[in-house]
Amino acid sequence: MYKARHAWSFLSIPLLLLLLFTFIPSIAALGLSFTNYNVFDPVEWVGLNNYIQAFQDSEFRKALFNTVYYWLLVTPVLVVFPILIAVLVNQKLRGISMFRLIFYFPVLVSVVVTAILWKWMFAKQGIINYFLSFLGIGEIGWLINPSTVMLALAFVTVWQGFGYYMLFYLAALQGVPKELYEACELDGGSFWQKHIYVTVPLIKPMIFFVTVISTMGAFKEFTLMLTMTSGGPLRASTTAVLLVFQEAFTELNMGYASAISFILFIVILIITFINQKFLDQNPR
Amino acid sequence: MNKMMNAKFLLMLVLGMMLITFTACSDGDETSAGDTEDTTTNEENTDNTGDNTGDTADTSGSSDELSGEVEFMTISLLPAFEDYLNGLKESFESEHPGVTVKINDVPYDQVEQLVLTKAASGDLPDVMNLNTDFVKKAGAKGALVNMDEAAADVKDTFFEGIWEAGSVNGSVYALPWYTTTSGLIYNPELLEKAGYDAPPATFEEAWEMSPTILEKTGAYGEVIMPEMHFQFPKNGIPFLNEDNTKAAFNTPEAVELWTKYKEYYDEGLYDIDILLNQVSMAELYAQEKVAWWYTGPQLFRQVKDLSPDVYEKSLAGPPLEGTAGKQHANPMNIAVSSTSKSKDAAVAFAKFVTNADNQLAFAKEAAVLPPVKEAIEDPFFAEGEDSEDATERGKFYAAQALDTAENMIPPVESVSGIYEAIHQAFQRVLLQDVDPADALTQAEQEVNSLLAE
Amino acid sequence: MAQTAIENNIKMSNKDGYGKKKLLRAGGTYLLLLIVTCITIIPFLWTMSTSLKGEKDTIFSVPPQLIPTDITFSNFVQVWNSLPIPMYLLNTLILTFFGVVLPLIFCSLAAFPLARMNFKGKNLIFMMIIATMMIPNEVTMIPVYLVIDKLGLMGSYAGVIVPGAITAFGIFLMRQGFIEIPKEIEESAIIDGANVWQIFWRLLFPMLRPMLGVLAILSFIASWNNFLWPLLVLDDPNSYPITLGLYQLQGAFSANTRLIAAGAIIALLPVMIVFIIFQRFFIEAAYSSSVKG
Repeated sequence: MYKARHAWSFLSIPLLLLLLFTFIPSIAALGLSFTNYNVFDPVEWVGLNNYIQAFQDSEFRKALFNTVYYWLLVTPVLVVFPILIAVLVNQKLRGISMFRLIFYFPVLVSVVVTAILWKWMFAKQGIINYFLSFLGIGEIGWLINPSTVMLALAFVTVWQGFGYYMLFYLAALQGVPKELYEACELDGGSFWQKHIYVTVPLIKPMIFFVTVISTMGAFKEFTLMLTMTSGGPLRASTTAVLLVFQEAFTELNMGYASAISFILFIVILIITFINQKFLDQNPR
Repeated sequence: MNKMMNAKFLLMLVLGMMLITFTACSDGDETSAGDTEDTTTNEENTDNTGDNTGDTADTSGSSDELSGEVEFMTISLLPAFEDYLNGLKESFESEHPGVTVKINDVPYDQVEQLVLTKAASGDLPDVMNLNTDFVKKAGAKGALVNMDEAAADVKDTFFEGIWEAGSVNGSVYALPWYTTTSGLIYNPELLEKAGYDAPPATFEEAWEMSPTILEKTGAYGEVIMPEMHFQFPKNGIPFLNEDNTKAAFNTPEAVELWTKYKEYYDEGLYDIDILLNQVSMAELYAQEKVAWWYTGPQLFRQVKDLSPDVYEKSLAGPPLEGTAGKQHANPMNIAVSSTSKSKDAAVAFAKFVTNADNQLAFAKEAAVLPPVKEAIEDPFFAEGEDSEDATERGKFYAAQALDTAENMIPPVESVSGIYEAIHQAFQRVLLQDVDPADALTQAEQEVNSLLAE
Repeated sequence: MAQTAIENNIKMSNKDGYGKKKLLRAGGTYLLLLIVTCITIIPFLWTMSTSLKGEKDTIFSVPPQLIPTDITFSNFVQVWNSLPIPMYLLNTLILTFFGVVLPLIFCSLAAFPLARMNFKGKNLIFMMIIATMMIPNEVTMIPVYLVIDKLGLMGSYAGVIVPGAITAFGIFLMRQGFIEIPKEIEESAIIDGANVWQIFWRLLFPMLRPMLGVLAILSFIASWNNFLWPLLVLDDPNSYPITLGLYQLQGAFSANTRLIAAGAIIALLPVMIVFIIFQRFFIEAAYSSSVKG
């Protein structure tokens, strides 16, 4: 019913903007990954050297491992937990919009304040250990121990992110026809049964979306690490993009940083394809 | 229909506001383009600007040859030093009517990203306030004006050990603006509880006192701080060999030092969270969890912010000494972009900012030290020995130490890589029980391969 | 507050037959929500209490001292006096206005054909858009800066706004929204003789309300918190947005946590107001069956 010219008339301005500010810069970055670009010196073509270097670089391997670990810690929780919260706050109860706002608070807190706050919370004599001590758990050096640092950072990520993803699910829930719930209730379904059988299938596209977005978010995260741990201790919290950042802006190896970015790009691309196979059922 | 109207109205509003913004911006562009046109683009750096510097301001007409716009990038100095910076701008502009100075203050955390991005578009600020590490990186890439040549006339006014801070590959690329050396702020109450009536004078003494202090008060004594790599030069262990081609820190002394540090760590005399920047010394000190803090007196007032009571009872003493008996002076620098369109004016302004008078005035305001010999002779720095105020007294001791202080940062491009290698090795010793000798050998190899690049 | 809410629900619930069950469920819901609240509200409470603390109160104590004994507004006064806050807020307002409106328009425009039309190259374009989301901004930052420079937008608000006028994320989100609208809706409109733009503007755009609300909130937060990009593009401190202005509270020689907290609260309040407004805009249709039965 639509013609191709309709499509292009809608796409023309957006594509022009994307071309200028997204496609051209991305291609430029790809091009730089084959050079020794460092901002100051004249640019030299180095072929695949940066990529070869990356595969031999134990720091990069470690960073990639850290990133995958972080992703596995964070994304499953951020896909599932916000659904529960969204269902809870989608009820008509007094003061419920207050709760929505409160759950969204962490997203609004600035990077600076987040870092100050959580460093203090996770300190050896900090609040978290204070509460854990009531459970008989001894002092844990959350952010100074290579084996717990990612757990702590994942916790902060979930804390900061669930309100964000709750918002997407809330929007999706608005499109679920109420009659379906009523039918389910008539069949004697309980509150949670109702949601597992009615809600989840209907918001599956949104689950796919959140999986993709939170995966990309996890793979691209570095600000949290930069401000809270600088990637330490012993590089246990150095993610791939933190390494990109350090290589680009501390070591002035922009070319190498770009190469790492594109290896990471391939990794995310593969994961997204897998996600799509399993979750996206709208190949309209 | 109503919805259509709304949409149209919205669209008009957007277009209208866009138009306003775009016109506003193009106006700004025109003026700045006009300014750069009458810029002198003299690539040679002759010393004809020399007479404009120093405290004897030149009032003859010759200075009017300078013209152009000078953008001065400072780091996290606004709004605290707004009056001072505006004063600099105004007095320089009145001396050189052809020059306009534009001050642009940048948050500390974003300096490197900003400078590199601007450099990529050939848009580097003319005069930049840069830390020493970054001066070395940018200087090595030829992005900064060689001050050995451009500022040869004022070179001798600076302390030699601090002038050298801006050096990389044999040339100096920045003028020291202000510097900091350490003093010691300490908590006499905690010391007294542990049975001491005076603070330690050396690191060795400090470590000796630590177990007693910990036992009697529960507070730490000496601790390993994030700048732990400077413990090498402070104890006579050089980072690099004479010609800066190889690591030289893998010595028996270094192994001994790290072995002791590991013992102290295992005894619980300090925790790694300080080293990893997880807690700040200011906080620990303000909470009386550490008996002293070896740092620049300009930071003592952070204690005052956090806990006025603790600050009130604190005293200041001379900085702790290592076996080399030398303090590290870490200056903030003023560098000039080598691609500046008004290089002469920029160099003149850089010299103006770092002349004795202006350094002195800044040092007094910020509780830092001037790296110019003449300025440190000001009676201001001889005062404070008997002051009740920790900052005042700390300033006195820090100034005393400046004479023998030197900049300990190795004069090579890859400074951050060298520190990183040392820190990783040290963390392996503490966290993974790696033998100090093995860890140092590995760090040595990493540094050697960095230097070979 | 929660107590009265529960009581109110008792009143509401008692009207129908399931009173007790509903009450239990409401109570359970509140309990769960309160537990989660405890975790999320900490930063706000801590920031708020820190901003109100005077010199005699400690900030980093364990257990935390949430209620200041030396309560004072001087931190706010000090922030307000040392920085031109109203000017920064006005600047931010201009930037966020465009930062919200432009993505809403352009992302929906792009998403409409990508979600509901069939044409050659559709999948390629969509894949390309998604693919750009996988490239870290840190490596595209300098190229984008150069584009802005070449377009002569350096130093202007346009240079800050335009790169964010359309985002791959926004297109992806709006496509998601368009896909969820049943196909039959357009078919009847076409029979009625509506043209493509009318279908887009009058029919589908209003149906996107929940997604538009989400995108509006997210764009708002993004442009409100954006500070690196304005820092790079703008050269006049008088045109700085609030986040960039607040960075000045961390000076070279001082970092007064109380002032930083006060600044954070000042920056947070407008965001909270906007959130409350927008969430009403898209969640008004919350289903009610769980209480009324």
